[in-house]
Amino acid sequence: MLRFLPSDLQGLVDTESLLTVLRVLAALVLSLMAVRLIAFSAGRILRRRVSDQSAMLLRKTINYAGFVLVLMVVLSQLGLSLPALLGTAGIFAVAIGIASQTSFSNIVGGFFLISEKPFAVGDIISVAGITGIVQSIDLLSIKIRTFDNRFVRVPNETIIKTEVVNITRYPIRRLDFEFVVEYGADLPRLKELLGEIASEFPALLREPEPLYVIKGFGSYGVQILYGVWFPKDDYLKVKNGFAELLHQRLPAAGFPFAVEPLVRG
Amino acid sequence: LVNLPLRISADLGTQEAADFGPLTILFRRTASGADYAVCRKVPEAECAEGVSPDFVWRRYLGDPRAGSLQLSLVLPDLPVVITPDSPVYVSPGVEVELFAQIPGFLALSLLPSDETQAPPPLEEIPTVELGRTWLGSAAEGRLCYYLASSLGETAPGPSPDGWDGRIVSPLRIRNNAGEAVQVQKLVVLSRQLSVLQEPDGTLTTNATLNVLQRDGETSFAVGRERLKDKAGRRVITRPRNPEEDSWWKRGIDLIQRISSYS
Repeated sequence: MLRFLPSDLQGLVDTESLLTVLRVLAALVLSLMAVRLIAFSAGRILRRRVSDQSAMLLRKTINYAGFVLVLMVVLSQLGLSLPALLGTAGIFAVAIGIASQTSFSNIVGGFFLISEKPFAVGDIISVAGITGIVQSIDLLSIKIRTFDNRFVRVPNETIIKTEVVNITRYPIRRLDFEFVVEYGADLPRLKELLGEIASEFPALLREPEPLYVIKGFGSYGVQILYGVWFPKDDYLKVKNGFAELLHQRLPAAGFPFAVEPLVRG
Repeated sequence: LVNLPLRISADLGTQEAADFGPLTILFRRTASGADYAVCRKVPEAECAEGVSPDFVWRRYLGDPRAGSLQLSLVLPDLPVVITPDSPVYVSPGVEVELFAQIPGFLALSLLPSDETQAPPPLEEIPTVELGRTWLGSAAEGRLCYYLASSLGETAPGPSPDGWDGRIVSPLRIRNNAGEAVQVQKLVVLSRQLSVLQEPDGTLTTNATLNVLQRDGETSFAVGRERLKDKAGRRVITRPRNPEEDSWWKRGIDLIQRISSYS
């Protein structure tokens, strides 16, 4: 039966052990494939019913739980005692827990993130000086793709400890344009003109109304803040387009931008 | 607009044109496919061709057999928020009807020469340029089109200069608030409305109901009367999503209101 093995190995392995190993290997491969299939199917079924983030979390939970279950069944098939295994696993868990407190705090942070939901997969966030699109929220870290196409992994502990700005949480946004006009400018007319320019720019919303604030009197002119509202997806269109329009229309209508005079010593 | 939808057919190497309210649509067929352009009409004093010269040809690369361009009339894809030019006050317990004119949209589809069923539109173009506005709070609400309108108390008839791209939309206001209310904005739920053609050629929608509630809230619904039953009226366009305001959605809204009542 074992003639295909080299002669020096034939004495070490008996037929029964080999069949057990082959059976366990086959069961291992099939079980892992089944776990992946269940996780994939659950993700597909739930994709339209729950958020991307919840579907991804469920997929990963099924994967990890299935893997642990398969491993335990396989080890018990190989003749290892399950209670002894669990006991060993417990000791290992305590040892690993003590040795990896940072990872543990990340995991706890991950649970907070999942329950608090400050952002979801696909949101644009700014955290610890990094701005980008959230790719995944995992138990240890979140993954962000920045706008210049870099992959950034931020530990959950950092997210919990620092300020996170979710830029796309609400469907509309306000963008503030600040500029300085010369002293003596007709400010009521300026406000009217800004309203006219805003109503001509199709990406802007009529309501909520734009915010007009005279911020103060600077050393070389009146500081103006003009905040316009738009659907969040139109950010770049408004940022560049409206700035260009202001730059073109205000000086042409008699409101040149005031610039700090150069002082020559 | 007697025979909507309109079709423009062109032989290989030729160019045809058709008017659609304030728009002119050009269509030409070349060996490589079909091209079309949408132009805004301008007074002939400004331009000899009668159309705005800044139009751009768009090339359709789907089906080389495309033989004709279908022009259909559709209502705006977002609700239209109408701001009255002058304040409108409604007495308590009264239902009034006003008439607004909302812009129609041109839906363009290219028809292969051997098919009569139009495929989904390539694009939808407003006949009159519309601004956008937000209905709701800054945290939650819906995107709408914005229209400043002088609301009339009678339905306007057909214009002697031809169709200007607008559709008459009856707006009912019911004041349930128990005191006189100033109406600042009205909503036309355009996705749920049909376009109907009156015997005199006027295009109208069915009515939208704006109900002013006691606590200062406003709710919106589509009028239930069946305008198409009137003799000589013809349905031009069906609602995009008629089920949106159905009884079960109202039921769910009611349950949500009850559950969040404090």
